[in-house]
Amino acid sequence: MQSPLTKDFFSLFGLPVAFHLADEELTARYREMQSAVHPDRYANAALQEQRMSIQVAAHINEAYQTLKNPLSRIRYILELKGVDLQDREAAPDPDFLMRQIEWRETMEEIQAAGGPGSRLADLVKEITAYIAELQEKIAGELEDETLLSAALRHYNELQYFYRLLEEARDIGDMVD
Amino acid sequence: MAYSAKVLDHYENPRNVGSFNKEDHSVGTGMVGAPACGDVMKLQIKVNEEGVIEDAKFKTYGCGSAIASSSLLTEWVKGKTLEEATQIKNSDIAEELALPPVKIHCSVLAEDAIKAAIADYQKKSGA
Repeated sequence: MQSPLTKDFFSLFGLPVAFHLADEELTARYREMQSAVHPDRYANAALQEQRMSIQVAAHINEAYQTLKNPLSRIRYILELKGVDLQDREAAPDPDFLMRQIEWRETMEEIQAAGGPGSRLADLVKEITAYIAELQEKIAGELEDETLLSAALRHYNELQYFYRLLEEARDIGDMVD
Repeated sequence: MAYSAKVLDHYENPRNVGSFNKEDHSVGTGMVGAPACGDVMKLQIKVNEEGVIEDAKFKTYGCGSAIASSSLLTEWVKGKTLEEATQIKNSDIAEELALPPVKIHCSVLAEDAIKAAIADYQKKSGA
């Protein structure tokens, strides 16, 4: 049997390599596996086995954290498929970046005007919609070997939207 | 991580923040970004008929080092010819601001931005 340490994160949990995954299934498998290799179970085992269980537990943890988060899950699939994440061809174009600056300016205006309110809520709604749309595109592109560069470009864009969302939420938190 | 005094100075008192009309033929606009940190940098130059950069403005959304790198760069390019401005290296910026290794990419972003602004100006004036 292949050592759990050399399996990719998806096969480790018995899941297909795909963007869409059932959160509950991932979490359930993670809990099962984590309890099976818990170091407490190896308290009386040979030192060698104890070390192994700690390594496997750490690997399972890393796998779970990577797959649970949509951004790191996409990044991981791109890496599995051998995509060069630094490829400059996939950098967002100037128009996209200009639009991002405009969003940040809007956010500054909202903050200057006293923070949360319906304008911020609308903005968060808008950003969330972009994120959902991009993730849907990426999910499809990752299934098609000829569309991996498009998937990378959209992944790069997606990172900006998550960053925007984070900042919008920070503004919301400040006054809460 | 502690920022150097120079980074803090540029971060707290950024020079040349703002925008020029990007449709203006004497203006070159460079837009660059670093997806991994969500940074966006807009750097604009206003070039006179002798090919000298008369003025520069920037708008950066990012960490202190990215803001400081672009702020410093706008100071440096003023009065330089396009040719001279092309010579500015990210390592010059990193050295001046005493950027730690993990923040070197912010100075790379600034170098990319001025190169993109010059290319944009040349494309416009050539057309």
